[in-house]
Amino acid sequence: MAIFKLMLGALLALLAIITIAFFIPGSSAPTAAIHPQIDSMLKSSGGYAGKPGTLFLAFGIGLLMISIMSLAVLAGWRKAGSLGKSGKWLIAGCIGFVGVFCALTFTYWQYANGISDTFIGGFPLPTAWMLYGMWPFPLILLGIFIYNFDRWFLTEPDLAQFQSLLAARQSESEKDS
Amino acid sequence: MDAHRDMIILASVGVYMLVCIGVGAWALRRTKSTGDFFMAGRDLGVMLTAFAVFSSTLSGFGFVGGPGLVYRMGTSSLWMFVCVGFGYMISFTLLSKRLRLLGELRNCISLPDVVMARYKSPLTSAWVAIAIILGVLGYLATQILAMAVVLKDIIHESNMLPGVSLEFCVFIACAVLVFYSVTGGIVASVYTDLIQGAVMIVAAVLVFLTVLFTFDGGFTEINQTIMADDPEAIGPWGTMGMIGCLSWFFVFGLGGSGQPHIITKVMMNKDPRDAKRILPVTVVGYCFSALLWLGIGLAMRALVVSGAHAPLASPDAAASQFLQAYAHPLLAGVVFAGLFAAIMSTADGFLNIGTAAVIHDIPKAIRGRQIRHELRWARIATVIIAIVASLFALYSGDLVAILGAFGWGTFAAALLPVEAVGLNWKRGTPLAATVAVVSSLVVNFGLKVGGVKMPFNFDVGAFALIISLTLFIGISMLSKPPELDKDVEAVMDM
Repeated sequence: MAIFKLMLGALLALLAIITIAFFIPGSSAPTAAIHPQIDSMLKSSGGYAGKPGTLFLAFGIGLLMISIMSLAVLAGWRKAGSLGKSGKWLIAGCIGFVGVFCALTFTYWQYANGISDTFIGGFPLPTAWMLYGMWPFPLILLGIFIYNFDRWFLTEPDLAQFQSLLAARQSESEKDS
Repeated sequence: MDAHRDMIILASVGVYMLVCIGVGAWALRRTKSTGDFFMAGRDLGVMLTAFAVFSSTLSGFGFVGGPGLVYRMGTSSLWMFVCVGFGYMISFTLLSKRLRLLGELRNCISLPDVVMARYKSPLTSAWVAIAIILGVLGYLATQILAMAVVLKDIIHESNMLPGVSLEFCVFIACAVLVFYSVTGGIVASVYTDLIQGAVMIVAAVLVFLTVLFTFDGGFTEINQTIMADDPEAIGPWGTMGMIGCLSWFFVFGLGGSGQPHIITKVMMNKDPRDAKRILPVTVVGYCFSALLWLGIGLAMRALVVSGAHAPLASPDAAASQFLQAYAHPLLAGVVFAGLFAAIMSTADGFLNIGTAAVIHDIPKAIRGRQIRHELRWARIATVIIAIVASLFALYSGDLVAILGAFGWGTFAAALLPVEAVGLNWKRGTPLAATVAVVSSLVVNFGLKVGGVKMPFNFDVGAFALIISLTLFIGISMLSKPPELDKDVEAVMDM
């Protein structure tokens, strides 16, 4: 239940931010325009450089979204209200994901303001955080899922209980027919 | 070999379509009941399920629209696949156990069946079926249209039938799709998905390598070229900005658990314990296939801004132009076959769930029982839905684009709270579920038709998902806890 109370809180906060954003001057201004030389391409209007307020708002939205997604994972992992011992690893994994997002946002702030132009693996640093950090990071969560699958997620007693439910259901159907 | 490039591409697509027809003919013998037609007899192995899940997720959009978006907007659309690991993790923890077990326990052959078992409400089940039909019509029509447009271009380029019409191409594309979907139902669909997934991975990896060798300096040179023109385009958020990109990350990541053509595949595997193997194969398969999206999009943007390639008339031409100009003819043939594979693997899934909604779910919600000769009617309905979707694709104008563009968001907002959250939370009530489905339709279509401009490019589908999820949880918390059947409760406790 606590998971869904937290999720509802995060959703309401997100809704409140989006509603407020409707009234922020310039929020509906386009972030890009048609490229001056190439009609089929867009060119940005400068991004978030010099707009710390907007960057902070976006960062908050991102944190709330990752929180909701993490809570969804935990909701599926729960059994009869408990997350088990393995749950703490999942929580740690989700916190790690938030850490990568924070690193991405910080390096983007530096990039947008011309403080850093470092390239890693062929990409500017914040883009590298996205492609080499946020994209593969959930593999850690996958590892936790696979390792704990038989131990917690779907155990032999679960399957035995399911087989007895199935047998009861089938005998009930046979009686009805 | 370059002189025969167009013929090689046409032949590759032709061979691929013949393989699909062959699979359909073979699957006919394995489809003896509606359980086989809609659920593949719940007998799929790890590789079949995993490939069916990821190839259904990455539709033709990933092979045509994706690179086009990167060309047009820079890195913004990459967030649609950066979320995929987290998204599949959410889907598998929420659904791979409870949806699969409840499906077998109650002999469910569709998602509205599961909704009926969970909420005991024909009204909720009927609304879910209606949401599925609306989404299917739009999605299926756009997939058919995409197939026909690409086929027309290929035939035109080969000079075999220079004046070929779009209607004729819709007929050819649909005939193949309908043949294997009617004869083999979901059995043919998942076996073709396996072939389609394999073609997509091979095509994407080879194209990615081609992209790396197109520029001497590899990705560093590509990205520095883009950066010199527009630093934001190669930053993490592209030209769309951070908030818009995050809304895509959210709706494509979390919303994956609401896509009926994807999550029904999770109900079809033979052994529920296979989920631990299916998940990694699915994620790895998808990530490899997405390399095409990333590679072609960035390469074409760099080639055009540097003046090495003429500006594209339309962003959607990015993939085909790259293949025509820079890929080996055989590779171009494989990729075009992969493109058809991507489109068809999604389209056949939609055709199947749409058929289930029309001949199984809605009659059951209204009459309380199944219709007689369901398998025969399923085959007839498959043909009719394909014809309606084709006509819709050809003659509905903007409506098809609206329904197609909002398909993902509508499904996410309509089905995620009801199915994915509802199966993991006993407090979810039928009233809350019905309100969530209806609100998703109203918000998605209302904002689009009303032309409401969201702040900071926030995605309408993501906004609808936030509203429907809030309503589902909020109304459920304010309502009296529902009484669940003992067996359903037991599955939810597992």
